[in-house]
Amino acid sequence: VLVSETWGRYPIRMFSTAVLCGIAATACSDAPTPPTAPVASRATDVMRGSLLAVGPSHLLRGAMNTASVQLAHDVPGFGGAFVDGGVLNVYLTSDLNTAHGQSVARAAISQLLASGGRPAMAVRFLSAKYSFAQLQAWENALKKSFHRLGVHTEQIDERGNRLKIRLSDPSAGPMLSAQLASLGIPADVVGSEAGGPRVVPFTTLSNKVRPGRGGLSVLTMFSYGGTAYRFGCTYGFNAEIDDGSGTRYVVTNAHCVEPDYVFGGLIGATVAQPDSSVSSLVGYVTANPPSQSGLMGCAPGDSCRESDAVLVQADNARFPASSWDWGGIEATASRGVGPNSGGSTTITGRIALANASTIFFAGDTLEKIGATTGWTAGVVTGTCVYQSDGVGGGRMCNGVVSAGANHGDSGSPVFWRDTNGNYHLMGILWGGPDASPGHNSSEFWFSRFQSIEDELAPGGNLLVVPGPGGCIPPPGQRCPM
Amino acid sequence: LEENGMRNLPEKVIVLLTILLLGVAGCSGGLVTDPGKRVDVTLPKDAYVAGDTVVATIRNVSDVTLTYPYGFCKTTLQRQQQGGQWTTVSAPPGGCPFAVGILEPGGTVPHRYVLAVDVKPGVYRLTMPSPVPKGTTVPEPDVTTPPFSVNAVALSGSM
Repeated sequence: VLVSETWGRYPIRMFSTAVLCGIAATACSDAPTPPTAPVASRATDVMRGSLLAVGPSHLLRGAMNTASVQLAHDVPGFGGAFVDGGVLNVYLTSDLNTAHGQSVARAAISQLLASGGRPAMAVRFLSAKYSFAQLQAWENALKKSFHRLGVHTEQIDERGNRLKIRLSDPSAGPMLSAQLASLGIPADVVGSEAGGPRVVPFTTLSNKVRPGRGGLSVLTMFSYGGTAYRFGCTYGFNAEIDDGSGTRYVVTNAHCVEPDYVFGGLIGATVAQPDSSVSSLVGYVTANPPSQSGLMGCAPGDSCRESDAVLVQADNARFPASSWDWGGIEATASRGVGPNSGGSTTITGRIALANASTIFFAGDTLEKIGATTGWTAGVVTGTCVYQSDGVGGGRMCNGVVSAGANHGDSGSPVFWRDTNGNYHLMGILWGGPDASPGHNSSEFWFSRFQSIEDELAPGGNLLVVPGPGGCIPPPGQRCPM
Repeated sequence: LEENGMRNLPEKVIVLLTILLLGVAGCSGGLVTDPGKRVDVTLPKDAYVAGDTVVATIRNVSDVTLTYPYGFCKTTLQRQQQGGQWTTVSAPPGGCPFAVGILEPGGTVPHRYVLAVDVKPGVYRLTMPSPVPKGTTVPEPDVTTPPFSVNAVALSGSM
């Protein structure tokens, strides 16, 4: 009875509806709900308390509310803390490193650990030269000069009770010293170092990456028969032809720039890395030989290509020479090996090609970097396999490798690492069997470099690296070895 | 009591439906959750002869970008049996090019399938990999064309 009457009462009904609808609308939201900080009100106080030292409140963020920031608020003379051997070492400035000061610090530390769900810890007190609040104030003053000084990373060094700065350019050291002096910051407060690996966000093969290298994701766009097509493929390799023109090219698959019922012969497709924004433009397809019947090795009734490859002429304005790494392939974090394998797509370095090669044997281990399945490797199971597409097209003399790949890997550079650690380009991947969502193929098939060169640089050479000393050979000649 | 409850029943239903709809919208993230509803597959006609090319048009009717294997590789031809069940009568190709097709919301792409010259008369359909949102890792059921007939005698024209 009560329920029925309650539903009949307008205000309560509205309230119930609002609450239930709210629950329904938020219950399945994709956006994660930020966890509520157990010390939210206290954190606000802490941040407000820090304002005196570090600057305007609107520049502060909860993410900066570290354990040390909180202890700096609650413990007079706090200079930083760090764990060593299971013991929490706590700096207090010399004048406050007294029995009373330590008692205050212990109480604050106990409360902080409890609020974070951590068990109690043994505490050791050390005398500090500078308070944490003072270091924060100096840090904040210095930040205004970070860009000018070329500061790469900066932090309060809680072990060293000072600031730690890493400069991008070692020669900026004197500038940093001058800046410290002008701000009245003691020189011994700042420890600086230069160089070292840059700390960067993880970049994957599907991000926009310049300079462009083999293995990156590319988007192809073209219209044919009234339909606008878009395909996702992989950046094969950079190349020039020894025709003296200096024209720069990117090589990828022919099927990436034509519909499935056309086999070669189309030019003009736009190729971009990684998306369709204007700034992502790489260039346009300028060479894509048509398939032909009657070629030696082409099955009767088929129209064949030696390779599944095209030349994409680099756009000099949007994709200048500085955007084009001749001889470079992206290296990723890890490599999968064998049938159905998948590898990492997180970029961690560069593979430098030594040259292109036409020689490989059954049993060799070849590798590829593809935009979808990353770095995979496997054993060669075929060195010259004919493939008929069943509708009149034939791809001649393909290499086959027992390693995983999937849709989006088309165009992947395929390479071999010799016993001296040199990498040799062997061709570009174009397909394989039995790939599906969540299931990589048992093998991949690739167009051999010799076939690519024969089709795309007839009578000439396709140069995948500069010659010795950066030599680009004149027409019809080769660089001295 | 019964009268009171009956009087409020439509209101309750409306509220509960609202909640249900909001919940569904919240959970779906804007996707059409039924894979079969992400695309429309249509044919321009329903009768062909052996050797014809069937051109299916696949339209993305969802509001998200979909991806599909290049050429809808591994499309199969199925024939309807007397009991109504479908059996595959053509082996898909052994391998596929590894480009991935991209189909924007509202976009269409044609898929051409050449009927073999020895296809027997009957009722057929094509099944092809379902276009899926990018990043989908779980295989989904194939999509199918409407049924079409393959006739013994040549019809005028094709497609």
